[in-house]
This record gives sequence, C-alpha cells and structure tokens, in this order.
Amino acid sequence: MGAAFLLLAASLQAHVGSPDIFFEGKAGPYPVSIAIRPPDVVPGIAEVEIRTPSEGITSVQVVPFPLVGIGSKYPPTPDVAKRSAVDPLVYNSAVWLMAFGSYQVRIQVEGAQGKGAISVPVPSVAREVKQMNAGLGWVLALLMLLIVAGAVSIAGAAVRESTLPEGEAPGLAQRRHSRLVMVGTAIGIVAVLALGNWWWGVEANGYRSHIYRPPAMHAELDGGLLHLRLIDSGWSSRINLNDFLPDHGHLMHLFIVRMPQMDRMWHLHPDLVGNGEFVQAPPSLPAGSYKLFADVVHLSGFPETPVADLDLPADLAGKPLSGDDAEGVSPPLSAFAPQRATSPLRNGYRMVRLNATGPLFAKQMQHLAFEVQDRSGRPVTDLEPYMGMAGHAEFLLAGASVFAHVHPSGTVPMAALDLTSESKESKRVSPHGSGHAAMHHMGGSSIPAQLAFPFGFPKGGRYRMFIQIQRAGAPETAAFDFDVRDRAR
Amino acid sequence: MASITFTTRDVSRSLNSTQELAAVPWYCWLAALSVTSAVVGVEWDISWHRSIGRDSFLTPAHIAIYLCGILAGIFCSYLILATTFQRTNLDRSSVTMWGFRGPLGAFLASWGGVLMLTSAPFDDWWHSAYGLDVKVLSPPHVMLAIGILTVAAGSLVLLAGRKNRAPGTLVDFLFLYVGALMMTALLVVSMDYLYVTMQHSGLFYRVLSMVAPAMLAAMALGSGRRWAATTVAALYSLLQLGLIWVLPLFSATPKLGPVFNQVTHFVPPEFPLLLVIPAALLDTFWWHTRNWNLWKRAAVSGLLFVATALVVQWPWAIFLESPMARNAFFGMDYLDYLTPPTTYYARHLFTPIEMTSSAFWTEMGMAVAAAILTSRIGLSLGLWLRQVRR
Repeated sequence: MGAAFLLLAASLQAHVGSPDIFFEGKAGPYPVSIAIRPPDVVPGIAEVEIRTPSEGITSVQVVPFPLVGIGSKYPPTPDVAKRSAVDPLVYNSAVWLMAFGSYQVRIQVEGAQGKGAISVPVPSVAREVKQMNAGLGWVLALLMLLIVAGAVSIAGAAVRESTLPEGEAPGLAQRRHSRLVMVGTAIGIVAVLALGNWWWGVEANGYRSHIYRPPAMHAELDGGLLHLRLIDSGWSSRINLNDFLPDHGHLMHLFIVRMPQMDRMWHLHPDLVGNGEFVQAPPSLPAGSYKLFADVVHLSGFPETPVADLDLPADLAGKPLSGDDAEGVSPPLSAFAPQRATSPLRNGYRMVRLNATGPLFAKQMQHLAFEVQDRSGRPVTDLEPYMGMAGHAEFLLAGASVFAHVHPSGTVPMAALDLTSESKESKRVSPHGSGHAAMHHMGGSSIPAQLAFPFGFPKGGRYRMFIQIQRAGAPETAAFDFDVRDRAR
Repeated sequence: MASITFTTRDVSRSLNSTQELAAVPWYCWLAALSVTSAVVGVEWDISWHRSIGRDSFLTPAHIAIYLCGILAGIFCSYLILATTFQRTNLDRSSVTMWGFRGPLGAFLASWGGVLMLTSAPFDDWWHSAYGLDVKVLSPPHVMLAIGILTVAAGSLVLLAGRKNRAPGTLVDFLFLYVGALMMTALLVVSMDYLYVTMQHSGLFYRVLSMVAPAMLAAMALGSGRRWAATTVAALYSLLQLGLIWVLPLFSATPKLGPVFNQVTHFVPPEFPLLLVIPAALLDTFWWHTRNWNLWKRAAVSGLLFVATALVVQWPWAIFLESPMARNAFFGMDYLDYLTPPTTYYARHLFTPIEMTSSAFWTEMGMAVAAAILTSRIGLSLGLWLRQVRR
C-alpha cells in the first residue's frame, strides 16, 4: 500500500464520557443489578445502588477495597446498605474510594437462601477539579478581608494599650510604635497570604496533574497494516503500556466507526507487537473520517480506552475479516430513528428491540432487551457465543464524545472481573473453569435468542448502539438508535 | 514531680476556697473551656482517623473542634459588646479597636474563632475540589490550626491580663492549663516528626526544638511561678495519659481499607514526650537567671533543652519500643488500622532518618540553633505576658 494514507492524531478524551458502572450478576443465590457512580475527585465518595428481586433479604452490605495488591487482602468492615423508601427492592450505599487505580466494590447479600457475595471492579480516578462558585468566593474573600484588617488592628492595639495600667490613655510614643507595628503586621500578613496562595497553586497543580487522561493513540496506515501506538499520558506513574490482560482472548478490542454518520463500524482485535504498539491488518475501508476506540485492560484490572482519529482520503483495499473480527452497516445518523425497533441481519434474519423505544432519561439504569428472530419472526435457536458472550454492544453519542463497550453482564471488562476475590474463589473451587467470567461467559453452542444489556446513558443526546452476536460461525452486527434526555428536574 | 505536688496542692486549696473561685470571672472559665474543646476535639479526630478512618462533617470530634470557634466567637463578642456599650468594670482595662472596647485577649480569641469558622466552608470546598482528607497539611487545615492556636493565644492573653490585674492561684493555674493545651496543639501539628520511631533521629530533636522551648519559656516567664514550665509539661503529659487510658475504652471499627490491623477500639496518641524533665531544669535555670541578658538566657536555655531532651528521650524511646511498654498503661501496643506490619513503626524499630553521623549531628546543631531562637522568642513573649494588663 505504499506510503499510505495519513492518519493520525491523538485525541484526548475523558474515559470516553461514561464513568458510571452498571453490572448484572449473582451474589451467591441472589440476582443483583448494581449501579456504581464513582466520584469526580479522589479520594471521594462513590454511590452504590443495588437492586435484587429476591425475597427474604435480611441485609445488603457494601465494602470498597483495592482490586489487586496488598490492599486487596485487607478489606475494611462493610457498611450496611439502606433499603430505599421508594422502591423496597433497591438498596443504597456510599463508599469511599481512597486512592487512584483499580478498586472493587464487594456486595454481600444475606437472606433466606443464605449468604452470597459479588465484587464489581471500579476504576478510581479523578476526572476534574471543581471551580469555586462565585458566591462562596465572595463570602470567603470578605471574611479574609475582615481577618486581615482584624489582625492588623489587634497587633496595633496590643502594642498601643495592652500593657498600660488601668484607665491610662496611650501616649504619643505608644501610638507611633503601634502604627509601625500595624504596617509591619500588614506586610507580614500579605506575605503569609501570598505564601498561602502559592501553596494553594502548588496543591491544585499537583492534583491537576493526576487527573485521569487515557494514553494518547497514534493511528497510522503503513505497509498495508494499521499501526496503533499508545503514548503514556503521564497521569500516573503506575501505568505501563505492556502489561495488558487478555479480555475475551484479545489484548485489545478496537472499534472503528465512520464519522460523523456512524453508518459503518468494525470490531477488530489488533496484536501487541511492542511496548504500547499494536498492529492490525485492516479491512477494506471506504474513504472518510474514522474514530478509533481501543479497549485495553491492564494487569491491575484497570481498563482504558485510548481514542484516535483516522482520515482516509481514498478507499482502502484491505483484507476480508477473519476470526472474531466483525463489521456492521447501519443507516446514517442523519436518518436517526429511535422508534426503529428492527435491525436486519444476514439471510433475512433480524434483531428486534423488546423495550425502550420511547425517550429515555440519562443516568438511569436501563435493561435494553433484544430478540434475534428468523425470517418468519420466530426466536432463533442457533445463536452462538461471540467471544464467550451472548453479545457485545457499543454505545456512541452523536459526535463520539461518549463511547461504552457493554456486555449482558454490564460495563465491567471481564478481564477485570476475573481478578475479584469471588472469581478467584470460584477458580479455586472449580479449577477447570475460567474464573468468575465463566459465570457470565456462555459455554454451550446454543444460547437463548433474547439478550439484554444493562446500561445508563451518561447524558442526554442521540445515541447509536451496535450489537454483535454470532450465528453459524460468523459474527453479525445490528444497530439501534436511542433518544436520551437529561433527567427531568 | 515536685511541680505536680505543688500545683495539685495549690489547686485543691483554691477549689476549696469559694471566695477565690468566685473571683475568677466567667470569661476565664469559658476561655479555658473553648481551648479544651478544640484540643480534645483534635486529639479525638486524629484517633478517629486512625481507628475508623472515614468521617463526615458532623462527627463528635469535628463538633468539639468547631465548638471552640463558636464558643470563643460568642463569649468574646459578648465581652466586647458588654464592655463597649454597658461600660462594665472591664472598660478601664480594655483596648480600643474599630470603636469597640474590650480585653485584648477577647479580640484575639474572637479573631481566631472567625478564622476557624472561615476555614470550615473553605475546607468543605477543598474536599469537593481536590478530594477528601488525604493530607493533614492543606491550606484550609492550616487555617483551622492557626485559628485554634489564636483562640488559645487569645485565651492566654485574657487570663494573663486578669492574673496580672488580680493575682490568684486559680487564675494562675488556668493560665498554665491553657498554655499546656496550646503546647499540646503545637505538638499535634508537628506529630508527623515526633513519633517514637523518629526519636533516635536528629530531625525529631530539631522539630521538637522548634516547638517546645518557646511555649515553656513563654509560660515560665509569663506566669512568674517557680515551676510554671514544669506544670505546663506535666499538664500536657496528663492530658496525653488520660487519652491513652480513656480512648481505648470506646469501640471503633475501621471503615476504610486496607485494614492491616483489626482495630476494635479507638487508638490513642503515643505516650507523652518526657518534657517534664527539661522543663524542670529550665524552670530552675530561668528562676536563677532573672537578671541575665535575654540572648544569653536563650543561648543557655536552647543548649540545656536539647541536651536534656536527648539524654532523657533517647533511652526512654528504647524503653517505649521494648515489649515492656506494650500494655494499657504505656499504650505502646496500639496500632492504627492502616500501618502495614512491615513498617518500622509496627515492628517497634527506629526509623533510620539520617544515614550518616555527620547528617545526624548537623540536625542536632540545627536543633540547638532552633531551641536558642525559640527560647529567645518565648522569653520575650513571656515578659510581655507578664506585663499585659488589658
């Protein structure tokens, strides 16, 4: 392909705009839906919401602790989650995330069927520095003014009068001395305030340097290959670019979406060839602008999604897809149709949306359910696991400022889930299984025609959802649109 | 010990004397109470963070701390307003500021109270912007600490004015008591450098020299009593001992991880520093050198302080690190939940700070210099406190 097309560019995005965690699983015998909303600053408080339809629950307890390392062995005492006054199936808690990195939140359920526990990996990162609102700023500034003026006057009064005998008025010498001391105090206080302000700046800059930034990613087509190079963003000294865990058997899940219409997408699996260097034999790509999202999971269970842009001035003749690589075609976003309930698949088959055709609200946990049907509208019986799961879904906000890769078990990468203590325990009990993920990974060759994805849209807007399933040995992609509104106030 | 006997006897005599009790005005008691509230609150809060880890704005410890600011703000404002508008008998022994009249200590303490209360919304915002308490030393926390220390200083000045106008054993005692609280607060601010594992380092003696001599000198000269510094050191020790013996009576469970030690009760502070002995020596020295030049007194005081602290604390630290001190009396078997078992602290070993003997002696030299300088400042402050009449 010669010298290639160009490329490139490092797009720095927040953790692709969807920090909340949604999880569907079982705490022992109890099915649970869990939503965890991490704080914007760390150390900070994460909100945890647990829903279980089980009856006879006597207590739900929640505890956060590191996912790996020595801290993972010494969890603190759990907190008892409070039962919601509005919905008796819901339990709420708030947990402190103390440090940056990979955390887990363990949920312990106790009830008529005994005890059960499950842990949900939570990446703990700072996302922003909050600005002081003007009102508080003014109040503090006025109080500081009072404090400064007070200090100067007190110093003056101390020198002028404090040692005078009762009833005696200060003389000229005392007054003069007092004025000198007041000037000196004022200078001293200005110096102290300047020092304080400098210190505040140092602290704020120090904090700002630790705000989460995914690795920058350079994408380049060269020699008929797509080269991806990750570059450390420097937010944490503990991030390495050669310590990735296989997730569904792949070190990277690369999603390529044609922009701005999002009418073509590919789900590929580049190979690691060097420190932070990945290579993929690209499929045929029509000319256009593309957004690349690369999901990786570090050894610590910490997931990242570096993003890049790729511009193709001319069509690229690539190789046919193979293995787990998948592609999808959908109507352009200009034909956004949240009411469209059907997405065509191969051979006249189709995927049908079973719920959520009306407007949805942001931040609310949804269970978006679908059914794969044959030509006559009957549920299919030949669905196969696609990389161990009933399906993989990707949510994209128009403009691509939000991207989330979700499974029927939720937003948590399976590779991270495998690091939890419950997963390790299940490995110990059943050494032939593949850990916790085995509970979610589909084993057999035939799986139900219905699948659902737990997710909460992070903010209002027009979303496109791609879903990959596998039938007759080959992956297929369906697409749906969602009209999401910011929560009604 | 002589000082304790002396003080206790004096106080019990005073307490028996209702006449003198009545002679100590209400604001002296409130001054002592507000500083007590802050210092106990701070110690409680530290214990809370070492035992439970997690807190909220309205913990009892935080309430105790802020109560100091509220109490000081209210009683000092009342004192100032009453003096200004009702022309009470304090008017003749008041200073003037912004048209208001009142004792200097009332202005100082209420200033400290305002600073403390200003730090609260600032701290709350700080947590929302940069995260919950990770660092003890942050700008809003330092603001709070300066506020507490100023309330303590204001209370000292209030008591100094009173005792200089109307001397009495009880008001003298209250003066020394507030001084002891203030020294405790200063030692708490420096606690990161004063742990028992640090006590074989030059750094420990330097930091101690930057804090203790000033308070001991100011209190000794400010009080004018024979064993004033010793009493202050003894009161500080009693407060720490009280905390060691009382805090573990209350149960606590860590709510943050990793939990390296399964804490079941509130973890108290460490055994008090043996400041009583250097203080007794300094009391004697200052008592006999009243006519000396202040710099000369400070130079000898600084040397005496560092030498005595070294001779006393060094072997005492060895005892505290030994199994003999790991009991409820000495309290050296209490470990907070987050100290890993591999640390020097958990293993009862001294942390190597200075790697060469020259580094150690350089620190010791700086300790002597710091002790001389802080002694000098303390001596001047003490002389001024002795003269304050308003």
